[in-house]
Amino acid sequence: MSGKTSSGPRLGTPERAGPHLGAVPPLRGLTFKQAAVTLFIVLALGMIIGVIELVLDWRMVREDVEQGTERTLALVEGSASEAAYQLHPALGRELVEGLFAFDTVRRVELRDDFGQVLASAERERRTSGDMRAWRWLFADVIHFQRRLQYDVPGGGLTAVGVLELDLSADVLAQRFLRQALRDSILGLARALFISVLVVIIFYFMITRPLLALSGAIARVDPALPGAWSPPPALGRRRDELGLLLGHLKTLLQASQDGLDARDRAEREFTALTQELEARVQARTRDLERQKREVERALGQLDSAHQRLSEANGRLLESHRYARRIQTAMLPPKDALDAVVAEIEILWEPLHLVGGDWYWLERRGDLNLILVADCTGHGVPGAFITLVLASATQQVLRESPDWSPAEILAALDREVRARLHQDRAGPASADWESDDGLDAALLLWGGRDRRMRFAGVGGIPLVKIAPTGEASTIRGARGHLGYQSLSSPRRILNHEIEIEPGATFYLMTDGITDQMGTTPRRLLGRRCVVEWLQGSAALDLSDQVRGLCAMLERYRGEESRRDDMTLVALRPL
Amino acid sequence: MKTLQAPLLLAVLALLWVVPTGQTFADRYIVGVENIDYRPYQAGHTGAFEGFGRELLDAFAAAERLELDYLPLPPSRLLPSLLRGRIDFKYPDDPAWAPARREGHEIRYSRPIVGYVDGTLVLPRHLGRPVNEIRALGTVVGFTPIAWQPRLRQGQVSLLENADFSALFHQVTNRRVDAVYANVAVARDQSMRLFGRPDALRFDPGLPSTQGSYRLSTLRHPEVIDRLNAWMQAESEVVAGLVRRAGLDDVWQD
Repeated sequence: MSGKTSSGPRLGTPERAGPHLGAVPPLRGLTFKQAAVTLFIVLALGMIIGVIELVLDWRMVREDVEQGTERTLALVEGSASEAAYQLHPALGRELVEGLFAFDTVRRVELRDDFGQVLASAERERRTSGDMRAWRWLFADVIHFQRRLQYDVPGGGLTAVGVLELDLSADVLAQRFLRQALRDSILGLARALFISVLVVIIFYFMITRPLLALSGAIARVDPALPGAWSPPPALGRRRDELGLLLGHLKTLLQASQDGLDARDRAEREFTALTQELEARVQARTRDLERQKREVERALGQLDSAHQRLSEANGRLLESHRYARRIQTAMLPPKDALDAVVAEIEILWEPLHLVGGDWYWLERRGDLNLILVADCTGHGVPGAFITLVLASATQQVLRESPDWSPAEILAALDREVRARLHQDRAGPASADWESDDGLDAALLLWGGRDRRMRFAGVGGIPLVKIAPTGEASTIRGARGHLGYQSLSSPRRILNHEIEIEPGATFYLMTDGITDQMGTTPRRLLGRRCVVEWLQGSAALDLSDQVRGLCAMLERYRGEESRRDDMTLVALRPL
Repeated sequence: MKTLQAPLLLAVLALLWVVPTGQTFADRYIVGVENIDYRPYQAGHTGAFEGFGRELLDAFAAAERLELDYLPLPPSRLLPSLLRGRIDFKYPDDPAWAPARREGHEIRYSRPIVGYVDGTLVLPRHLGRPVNEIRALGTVVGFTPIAWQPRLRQGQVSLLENADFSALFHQVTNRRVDAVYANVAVARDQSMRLFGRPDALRFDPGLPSTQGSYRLSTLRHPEVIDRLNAWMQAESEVVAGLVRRAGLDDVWQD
């Protein structure tokens, strides 16, 4: 697609990019950097190589000085020997003066074997500078001595004298330093020349084509990169710059393709956006309608909630009132205080009212405690306790001699009668009452220190002896009432001796059926009895408070499951 | 004698061989002589000492039962060698030679043994030339031209030394030097041997010359000098015969 069809925004113009990127400071240019790097490298290498060459030259010069002087001495040795043998001062002087043809010679002395100096000379050539600091360069190679021998006819080789020659360390050092300075200057000039040459080559081969390429790139139209054409000189190159140019053209063409694709995508995106906007508007209208419907439903829900709350309030008020009634049906807790050492009663329905009920009564010197757990809890249980309370009052009034088993049997008959559970046949189904209860009854008094106990269902008598020993007496199997069940076949009276200090407990299954701890499990009667054994030394009121706290800890986050009733007593 | 065993006999013979039998061993001395060809006086340039000096000293040694070893040395080394004790005697010697170097040393000289004349030799055609025309003087190495010393010191004459007499003669012939200063008898002898005639160079009595006598000298053995003096006095005829045979009886002859 041609850029002319592009309708998207332009990325920029060459006029904007040019002034910002066009000028490269001279010190940051490639040419300067390359020149600096080249000069540095050439100088560094030159310096290193120069030092090495200097050391090698120094050693070579020393060797040359030594060897050259030795050769010279070897050359004049014959004449020196002749002069020494002949004791010929003139010949010796000529030899010494001849040696001074070498400008490095500082002193020459020719001595005969009699210790006489045949000839000697010394000079001190002035150097252009103070060379004392550099004398060490040649200080160890400036002294030469050659012992002279003469082949005397008929006498063999005979020592005839000594030729000593000293070179000038100053002259040698100055000559060497001049050579070193000249080499250094030449090395520096060579480094500069190489650097300039490399810079020129680098400029014409790289920097200038790069500048041309940079200028050409600056002229690229960001909106139409595909329309860019390279400079002609660059286009003919077959080197790396030509390769770079080819890649650049490919890149610009790819950029042009990208821009075209972007334009197409923008158009498609615009169309899609418009479609989505229409969808959103329609959906918004739907949502607004649904919102209105929800608001209307919420209004209705609020209204229903209000009504429900009002109904709940009324129901709760009814429950509170029912609790007052049920509480009024319970005997005073101090009804037996005069005949027991201690007595403590826990009555805690699961809701405001419940199915647990107890009764305390004295007739003459007999004392009676009845604990019952009626079917269900809450309002239904409470209604059964009303029936039970009425039946209990009737049974106790009509029984001339109280016997725990007979009283429980009479309660079974009376409850069944009042709830019409004693009627057989299809009509009994109309009453729809299949309710009943578990009950336990404790009776004691008179002269003997014995206690009679009878029970039906799940309310046992627990005794903690003064020794701490615990014993449990269970009642008869079955329940009282219940249309679907028959009456217990046989209810037994259990007689228990009252030991001084013994404690008796009657408790419904709401006390022991506590779910809690980890892993989750029922508390059970055994754990409760063990706790009571461990707390036997406490007062009964403290025991009941402690037991409630223990149960609460055991339940933890769990909620209670049933009504709880516990009667604890310590007879006199 | 029958009981004398062979080993004992050998020991006795060895003892007789090493023990002096009344004859004393000769004293041995080193005589430093010049290693130049200075015939007819002497010659040591071949390593062997010969000539008149050798004949005289050998005659003295034989008469006095001495053993003399001759050590040819450059003339210039003779005096230092004597003063340093490297040689026992120096021959020839003359107290007039290098008197400054002899100061402080007790050198004992013999009586004159043979006379000598050191003179200036020129080409025959140059005889009679004035002394101031001599600008370059040649001589053998180690030979001190005593007669020319004032002119040499004044720079009127330059001295050229040469180790070889023949070269000196050729230098005069080729006008490299104007004259040669040498012993007159020696020059005549050299001319005879080099050129087949004795007058290739001729002694010019008008030019500087010196004369003197050769002596034997020593530092450490003056008794030998005394013996030499006594021997020469006692054997004056023998000495004179040796002088005549060497042709040195008239050193002024030219």
